Amino acid sequence: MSLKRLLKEKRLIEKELSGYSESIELLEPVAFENFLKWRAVLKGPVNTPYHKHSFKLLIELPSEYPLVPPAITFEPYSMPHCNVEFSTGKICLNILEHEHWSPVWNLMYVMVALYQLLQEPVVDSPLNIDLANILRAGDTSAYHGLINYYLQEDTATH
Amino acid sequence: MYPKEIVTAAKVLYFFFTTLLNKRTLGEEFTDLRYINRSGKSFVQRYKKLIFVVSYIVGPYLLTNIWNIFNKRLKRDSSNNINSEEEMQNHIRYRDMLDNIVNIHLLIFYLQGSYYDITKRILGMRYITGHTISKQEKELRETTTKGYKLLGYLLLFQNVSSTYSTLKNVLNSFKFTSSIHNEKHVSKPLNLSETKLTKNITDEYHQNHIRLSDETQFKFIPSESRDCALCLSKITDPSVGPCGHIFCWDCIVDWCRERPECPFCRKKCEIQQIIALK
Repeated sequence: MSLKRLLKEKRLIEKELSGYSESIELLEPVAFENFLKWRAVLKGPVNTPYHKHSFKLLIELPSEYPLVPPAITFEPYSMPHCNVEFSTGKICLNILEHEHWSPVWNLMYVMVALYQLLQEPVVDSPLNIDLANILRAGDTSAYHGLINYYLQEDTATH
Repeated sequence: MYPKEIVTAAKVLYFFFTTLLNKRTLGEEFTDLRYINRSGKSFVQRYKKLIFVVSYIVGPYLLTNIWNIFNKRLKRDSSNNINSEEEMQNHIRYRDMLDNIVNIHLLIFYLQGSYYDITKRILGMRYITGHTISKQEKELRETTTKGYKLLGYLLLFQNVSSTYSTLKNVLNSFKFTSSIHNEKHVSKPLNLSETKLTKNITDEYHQNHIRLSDETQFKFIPSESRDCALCLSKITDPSVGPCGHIFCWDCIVDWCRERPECPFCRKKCEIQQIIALK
């Protein structure tokens, strides 16, 4: 099931991606012969500290997909976000968990959900506790400053 | 194991202990009826009762069995014999004729009020009541007789009109076959093999799976709902759970094995609740 469906998804994405140019820069299989590994690039939403940055995502599709959710991580050490573990890029998002996943969702839908996560961090289920604490305390200037610091360091080293 | 055989055996036993031993069946006892002969002057001989019981119970059983065997042989023959299609038609006509005889018999029964079974009519087994009829019963009999007569006239009308139309068809087909007889002989063998071949293929395609890519299937499902949200293709074997969302049979069964709920609305959906639309 998964390969045939992924081929369909790929065709749909190619058709629809231009409509998402504000948020999704790239969403494609890493190599043509391997449809179980994809990569994506999300754009930082306006009015967030992520604006004017873009973020790489690694997507691994289990062979049982879409019966089980895709495994998605940000590139390690690239994403300072309340719900992302900085050193691994692991994402805390309920729709990507086994018990909350639905097979009617697809990669495009997940990308939109991740973009929303960039717009609205969820401080109650943090994987980056420092950032979540600062945000919960309402110290927006520290929050922005810290994220900027990480992002600039990131662009500087790469 | 043998439902038909057991039923037949039970009936034989029942009629053996009632009719054949000159006793009455439950229905006859209830309505207080006895058999008499056609002239109404004496009781019915036992050999006639025996013939009646055998033909009434064992007859239909044997006939259906013979009929089935005959049908099977006919089907086997038809695969290598071109003429058999005509034979099959004769065969069907023969069955129609039997149906007609039964109909006419029933019609006479409704109008005349005696001999409900054909064999009883042939053997002359009539019923007589074992008591004097009261005024009340007489009235009741007259009103019910009227109802049955009306039914009889309706049946008569139906039979006459259907006979008329079949007669017309037969006459037309005679004209038709005589006019194109020559042409038919040349083209028939080739056409037949061709249609049979393609027919088999399409039959397999349609019988095994219902595909919504075929727009003639389930026309009431709008085009935007004909895709399966799980495999993203046109639905094959449309199936629904308790909530009514439609998926392919394979897709939704696979998913409900993973988690028993509708992928759209998360309503509980156990595998055994999934229904394939037919």
